[in-house]
Amino acid sequence: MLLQQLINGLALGLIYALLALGYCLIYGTLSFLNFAHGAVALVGAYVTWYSFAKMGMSYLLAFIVGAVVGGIIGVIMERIGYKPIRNAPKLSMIAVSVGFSYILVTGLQIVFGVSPFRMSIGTTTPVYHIGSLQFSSVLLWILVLSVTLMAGLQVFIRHTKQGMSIRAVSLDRDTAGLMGVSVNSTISLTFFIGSALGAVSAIMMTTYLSQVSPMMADSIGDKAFAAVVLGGIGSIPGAMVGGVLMGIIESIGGTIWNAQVSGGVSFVVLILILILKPAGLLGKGDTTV
Amino acid sequence: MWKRVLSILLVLGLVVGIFSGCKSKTATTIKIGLGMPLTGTSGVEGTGIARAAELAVKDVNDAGGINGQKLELVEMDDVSDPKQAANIANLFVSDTGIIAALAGYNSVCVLSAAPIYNKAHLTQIGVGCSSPYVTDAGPYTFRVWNSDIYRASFDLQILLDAGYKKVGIMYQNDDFGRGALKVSQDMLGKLGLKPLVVEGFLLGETRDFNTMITKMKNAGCDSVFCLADEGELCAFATQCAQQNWKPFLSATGCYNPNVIKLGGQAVEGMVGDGFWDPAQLPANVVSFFDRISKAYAKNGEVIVEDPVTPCGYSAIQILAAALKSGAKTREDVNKYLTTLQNFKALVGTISFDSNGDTKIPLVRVVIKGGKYVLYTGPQS
Repeated sequence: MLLQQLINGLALGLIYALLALGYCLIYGTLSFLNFAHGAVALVGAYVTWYSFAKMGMSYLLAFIVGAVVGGIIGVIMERIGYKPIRNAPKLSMIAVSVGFSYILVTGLQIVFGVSPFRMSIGTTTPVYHIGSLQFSSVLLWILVLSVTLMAGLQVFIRHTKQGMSIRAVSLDRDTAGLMGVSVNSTISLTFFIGSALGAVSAIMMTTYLSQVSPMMADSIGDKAFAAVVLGGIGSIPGAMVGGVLMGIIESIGGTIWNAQVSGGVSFVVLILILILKPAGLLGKGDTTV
Repeated sequence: MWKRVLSILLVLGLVVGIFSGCKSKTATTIKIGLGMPLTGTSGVEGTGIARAAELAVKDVNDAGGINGQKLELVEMDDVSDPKQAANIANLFVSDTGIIAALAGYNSVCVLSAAPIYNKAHLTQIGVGCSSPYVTDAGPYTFRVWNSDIYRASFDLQILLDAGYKKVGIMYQNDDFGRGALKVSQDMLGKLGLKPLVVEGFLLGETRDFNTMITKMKNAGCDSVFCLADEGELCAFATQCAQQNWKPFLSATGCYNPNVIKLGGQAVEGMVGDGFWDPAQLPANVVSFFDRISKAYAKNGEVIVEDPVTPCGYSAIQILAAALKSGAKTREDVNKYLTTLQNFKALVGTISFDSNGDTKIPLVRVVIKGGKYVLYTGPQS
């Protein structure tokens, strides 16, 4: 059973890792934690649900639409909310992000109500076995897609011109601008990718849990934040490691104790790790937000 | 001198004028407080109760009111939060115009507010709150709903009668769930049985049941007794289906149209309890739901019969009867309810015992073909 629970935890952890990656990318360019990340991600999940369940789109197309819309909302937020106050104290940007989060979640509640909706790609999904281990189709799809996206992101960041621009802006925005990098476009691209990744992970999470509801915004945001801090703020590999660890710890906590404490256990571990290593597992130094 | 006299007369005139505007206030409405979860995790049920109460108040007012006075509902949203329920209780008790309160759907909210209502001698009627702990909440707390001593036992018995013995229990970790869990464990204990897995979850917070499901499968459970409302109940059922596991599910929260909408195919075969045969609802209940639909169904919303909503209507019927019988104070209302026997309400005949509890007879229901039908056994 423990191995099965580890697999369950790995699937959840990969979702958290994708969420954390989005957070981390945005932090890299603007050096602040975007507390609207969870809300934007959830909007993407709602768009997918609506496209699939109400408009009759195929799940794959609805998935892509949700991710793209999540990305676009991230860009719009950056342009109208964060760009004008880029040079203001970070507290102002944090306050704006909290405001955006509230507006988006309230908007979802007004449009769709507060009750959850079913997010399911089918109730008779095949299940595969390797020995005593069981892999549902949803679980397999999460494992494959998450790893693919993370690998793809690494390739993009390391080996493309746009990825190089993002890294340059993260290192030193002003110098990057002087070296000919279009800072505004790069930041917008980062927000698009980060928010789209967030939307993808929220879509996967809501499909895995089989429900979408406005109440999920806080837990999505909290998990992403915790994974980023655990892995080390500003570290992309750290975000991945932090996310996966959180999922596995939750699953083990749920196995040893119960589902009620599983979320709390991961935060207890986070605190212990931060006491020993304040910069996070793979973080390097400056942890200002 | 004349100026002085004139000034004094003017001042006197102003003073008299001010006081002549004061009349003794006579209330034109009788206020009933309504504190229900209008939003949040139980928003669907709470909204249903509020709509039913509004309809009942309208019916009373359209029939002439209470001795020339209209009934008025003062609605507040407790969001299923016990702290908010207590705040609402404080507001209601401090409003001397409120003569009684229809307050609390979630047992934890009823229990949180009960000490406030009981101290202020303001009658509190809960709807949907099944925890056995509500029984001892105080002489001013009543409920138009069954206690889990009856209801949870009834639903667990369906599972046992269907031949399942390897039971897992998932329960909402609050006053409702813990109370129903104790009833269930005691009942199984008397039969020499013990649940193989017992797992709690946090209302509104726990959505991932995969770990719990893996545990139950590993322990060999062939059935699960679910002490949960629709959100968590359907998430559990759907995640069971995703893991290709189909245990026999009996749930106290089964009979709720949202369960079918949210659970889809995953909740087919789930059993629970209701007040009537879904295919043969009493005429007055059919008429009630028609009226609710006409009044509130908008934007294609389909309002389906459920057991909770008629209880909200019945609670107002009882309070209106108390007022019509001559109750003028909060104590009068409480005295009426304390001695209420064989009252013909929409939901059935209501009699309150010395603890403010009533017993509404139940029938077994099952979800079959996307709707509720009477459950007659495993062959249903």
